[in-house]
Amino acid sequence: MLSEFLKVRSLPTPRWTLIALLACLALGMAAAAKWGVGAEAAVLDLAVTLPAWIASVVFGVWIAGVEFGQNTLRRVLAADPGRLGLIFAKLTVGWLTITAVTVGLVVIGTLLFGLAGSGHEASIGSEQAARVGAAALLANLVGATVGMGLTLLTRSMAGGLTITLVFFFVLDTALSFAPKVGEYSLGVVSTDLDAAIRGSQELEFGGSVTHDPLAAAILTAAWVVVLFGAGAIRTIYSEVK
Amino acid sequence: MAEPLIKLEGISKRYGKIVALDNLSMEVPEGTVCGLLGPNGSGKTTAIRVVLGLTRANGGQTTLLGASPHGPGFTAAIHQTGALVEGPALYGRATARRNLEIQAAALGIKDPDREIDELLTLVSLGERADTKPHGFSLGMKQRLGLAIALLGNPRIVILDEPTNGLDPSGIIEIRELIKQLPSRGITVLVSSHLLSEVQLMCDRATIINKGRLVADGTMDEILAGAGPSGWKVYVQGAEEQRAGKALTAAGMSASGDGQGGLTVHGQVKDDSEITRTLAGEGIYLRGLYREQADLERVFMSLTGGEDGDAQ
Repeated sequence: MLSEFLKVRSLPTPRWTLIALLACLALGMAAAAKWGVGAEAAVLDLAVTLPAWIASVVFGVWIAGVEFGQNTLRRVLAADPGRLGLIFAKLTVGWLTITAVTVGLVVIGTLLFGLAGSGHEASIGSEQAARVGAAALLANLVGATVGMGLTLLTRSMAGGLTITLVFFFVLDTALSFAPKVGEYSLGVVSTDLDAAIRGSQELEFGGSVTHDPLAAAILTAAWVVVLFGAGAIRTIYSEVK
Repeated sequence: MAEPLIKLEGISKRYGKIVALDNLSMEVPEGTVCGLLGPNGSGKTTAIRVVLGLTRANGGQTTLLGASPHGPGFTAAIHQTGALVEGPALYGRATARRNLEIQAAALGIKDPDREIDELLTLVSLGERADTKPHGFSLGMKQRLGLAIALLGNPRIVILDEPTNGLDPSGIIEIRELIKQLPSRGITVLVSSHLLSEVQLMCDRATIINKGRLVADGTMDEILAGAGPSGWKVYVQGAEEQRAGKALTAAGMSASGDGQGGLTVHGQVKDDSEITRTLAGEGIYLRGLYREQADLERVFMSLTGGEDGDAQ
């Protein structure tokens, strides 16, 4: 696991991803200073949780795909042949990093946006910030894990990123419009879970929830297990190039 | 006899209709530098991948330090094995030192700084330790790959074409480094298609072609397969027949090429015996060379100079 942390610290993609997140934070501060934090802490969603979700997907793809991108998998497995151990080390490091960054950004964003927007009427309450942070954390972990799974499945960093974006923005969205099965798409069930964590019966972009929180949690977990599991199985049983 | 560190028994590997390894058996005894020889596409890298558990064989048995790939004890065996497979696999945007630190962490080595410094010095990269290898020459990358393979003081290192892409001085440097490894207690399996290189650095060799074993043994045993070594004698063309008769009368066997060149075999103590015999007949030499047996001749005679691609 230490070697995975060293890769995160040493290689440029995580660093640039973090810089992009900090730039969004700075833009959020400027927006909060000019227009306030917005209704229901909208600035926190726009400047922190949305960029952090995209960053988490990119990071999930990167941590799974770095060995394919650098062609180093044979070196990694020639040092430690446990493929399942390697997959879970990457998953653990990915989750820990995403948790630290998401919590850190939400805390810092709440404080800075509150200060920057103090001249305006709306503010961000601590309970509201906690709910937004928890919902963001869950969404980020789901996004990253799906990205990891699909990257392991394609055995390619670029292929993994492409298929992950296609999955979230095309396939899953299309599935959500399908009759009967659409309500079981990852987008629908994870949005229901997001609303439950935020304590709302209304969805963020309109409409109402489809599933109760427990069903939404089970269905979200099922999607993650299937997509990540498929990638893990392919990695364990395939030949190393 | 001690158990060999690497043992392949009847290994077969197919990729669809392509036979990469065909009933291959070989051993690497401890304390040796063993060459795995064959032309490009002969199955050398596949054999190494099977040993390291990167590829599963379709048949046969493999052991690395007594452990079968993916069986009990294999992780411990891999931890005592250094490998450089198909060129150096480096994180191009991490420094040379960080590449070694990542490997040290993967191997569970605590406080690796001193060992990393020693290895960087050993491979002449001490001054480039904090440089990112994406700007390194191929030779420097190979040397860093070798340092990574040597990390953790392994019992055996497996090096796949370690001199590929190197200039002559780089080849000599790597060769000398590899020759030193047994004195550090490290057994070496080195694959190469450069026969002269293997002859210079190895005690043993296994020659494969089209995935099949064609020769295996100590370097002397394999070189003996080239037939007896002899002398090449050059005289004036008009004197060739007379020289041949004189040498034959002296108990040697001589065959001429019709242009003043004779190949001499038989009971010849040293080259002075040839010069003395010919001078006694009033024949003066234009040239006299010892013909050395070499791997190239052995290889060509064993394979018939066929292309090595697996079928």
